[in-house]
Amino acid sequence: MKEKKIIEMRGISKSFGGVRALDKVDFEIYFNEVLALVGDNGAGKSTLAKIISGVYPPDEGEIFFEGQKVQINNPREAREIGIEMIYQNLALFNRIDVSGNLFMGKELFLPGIWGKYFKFLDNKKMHKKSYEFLQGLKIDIGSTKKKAGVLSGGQRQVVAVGRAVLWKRKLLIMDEPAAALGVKESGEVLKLIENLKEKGLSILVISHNLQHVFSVADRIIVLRNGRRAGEKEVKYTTGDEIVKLIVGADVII
Amino acid sequence: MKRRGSEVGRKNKTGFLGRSLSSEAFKFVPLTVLLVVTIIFLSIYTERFLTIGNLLNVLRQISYSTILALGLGMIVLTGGMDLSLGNIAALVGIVCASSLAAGVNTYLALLYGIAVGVLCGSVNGVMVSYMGIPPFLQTLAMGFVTQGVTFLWTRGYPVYEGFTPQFLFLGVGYLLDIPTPVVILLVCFLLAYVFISRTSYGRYIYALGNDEDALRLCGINIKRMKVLPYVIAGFLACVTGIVMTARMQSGQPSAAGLTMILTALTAVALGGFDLTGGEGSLIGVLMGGIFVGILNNGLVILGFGTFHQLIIIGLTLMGALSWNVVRVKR
Ligand SMILES: Nc1ncnc2c1ncn2[C@@H]1O[C@H](COP(=O)(O)OP(=O)(O)OP(=O)(O)O)[C@@H](O)[C@H]1O
Ligand SMILES: [Mg+2]
Repeated sequence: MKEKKIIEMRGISKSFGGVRALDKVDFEIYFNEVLALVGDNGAGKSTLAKIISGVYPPDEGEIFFEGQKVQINNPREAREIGIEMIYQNLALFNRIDVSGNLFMGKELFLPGIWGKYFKFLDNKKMHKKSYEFLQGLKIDIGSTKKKAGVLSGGQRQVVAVGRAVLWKRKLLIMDEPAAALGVKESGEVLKLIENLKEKGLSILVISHNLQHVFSVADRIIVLRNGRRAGEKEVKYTTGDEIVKLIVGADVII
Repeated sequence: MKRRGSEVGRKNKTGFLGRSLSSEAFKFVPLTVLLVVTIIFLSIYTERFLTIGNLLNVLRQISYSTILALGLGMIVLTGGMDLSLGNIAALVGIVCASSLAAGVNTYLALLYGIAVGVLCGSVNGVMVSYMGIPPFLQTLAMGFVTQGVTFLWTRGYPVYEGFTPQFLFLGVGYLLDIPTPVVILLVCFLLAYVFISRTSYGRYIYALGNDEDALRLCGINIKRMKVLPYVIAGFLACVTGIVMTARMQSGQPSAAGLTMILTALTAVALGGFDLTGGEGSLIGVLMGGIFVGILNNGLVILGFGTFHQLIIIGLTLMGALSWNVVRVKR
């Protein structure tokens, strides 16, 4: 084994009625790795991501997180062990400002009895910390007093991801993070992923855009019809090779 | 890019109240214009309106329903509703008045009243939050129950024996030349405002109206959080009931009820609250309450009766609600 794995899944299967969405899939992400999960529509990518983040239980298979065998029964449990999924429809509080969104559920309180017993917020400190924190991610979002509802798609990603980082999550899952975004915003999200890697996080990215995948990922795992069709290191592969794995053309030729 | 950070530091100088007042002020431009136009109109066309005595009178009249509206506003922020608050206030008034009539001392009488009101509010909250009953229906039912109890208890007659000077002070007294009900309204407003805009509970109440599922994922106990505004509103209904009873120097079974909720709801709607939750400021409630008070007062001075008032207030409510819908859609 070359590096330590943050998560390892063995023999994961999942069916929906008659549809076998995942069929005995083995899967792993190394520490501080950006792993891209690719595959055709319906290959099972989102299903795998949802199993990791506790949305569905697998029918069969084992999951090891940081070497420990775990059972992830719901999204809350996934969060507790350090896994966060950034949803396609981002769950932000639109009428609350950026700082409020970042610190929701983890607020900073005023010192002394005001904070301790009356739960008075230290808004000044939260704004300051939010600002510094977003700067640390090399992201310019403007004022932290902006309401989340007025942010652009890319900025919303930043806030959602920022919240995960602030909560010290270790593994981030992003399902099609750039799907609804324009060219410039997609670029910002890719930059964000790089910055997150620099911060020491492990990241699973699902994407149909191979250009994005090649610019940001360390390794690629390909799913086809619910099976693991292959694995390539970005450094030693080409787009052609990945496309063949995705559609299965290598078998025919 | 670097300058933006100092924006946080720069505005802090005015203190939190000043800061939030100034940043929220622009939202109230339409309401302020409405208020100013009405005041100017009434000052020009009537002689009685613009006198200190009359203005204090207006403030005293609005204090009851506006105290109620502060609690209603918090409930509306979570996406809820409470139609029972007026009836709860009436019941609390009767409980206090009957206790005094039975010779109970003032503080204990107040305590009994508050216990009853907070209990009613808590039941509303628990039924809505834990049982999942739609707030409209739950609180409508609670309104009937409390009204029924009030009338059964008093057989429909007012209760006016044994009122103590301390109790009466809450309704008819003055503090620094300001009627006590007005002072109580201001104190309630300040406490509620600080609670809702400065504490984590307040933030969760807003967040609940924004996105319940997202808040749950942040590890907040949603069910418990949803009960809280109903309990607070129940308490504020107690304050309303007590002040009103002291002012009328009698416990009136039909003192409050739906008319009061109509008035309170109008204040809330004028204050820019989105009835689906998540948006609105208590400053707006206060201003909305004052506007409704001035409107009512003006109608009386101009010679219109109670029925005209009902129609005008009802239409104002419809207008404010429509305006909010249009504003949110833009
Ligand atoms: N909740 C569900 N109920 C029934 N079938 C489902 C459900 N979720 C996924 N499936 C099925 O499982 C298979 C895999 O779906 P999945 O969403 O994981 O694919 P995907 O690789 O994410 O595809 P895409 O690239 O289109 O997002 C598909 O055939 C899909 O129809
Ligand atoms: Mg998918």
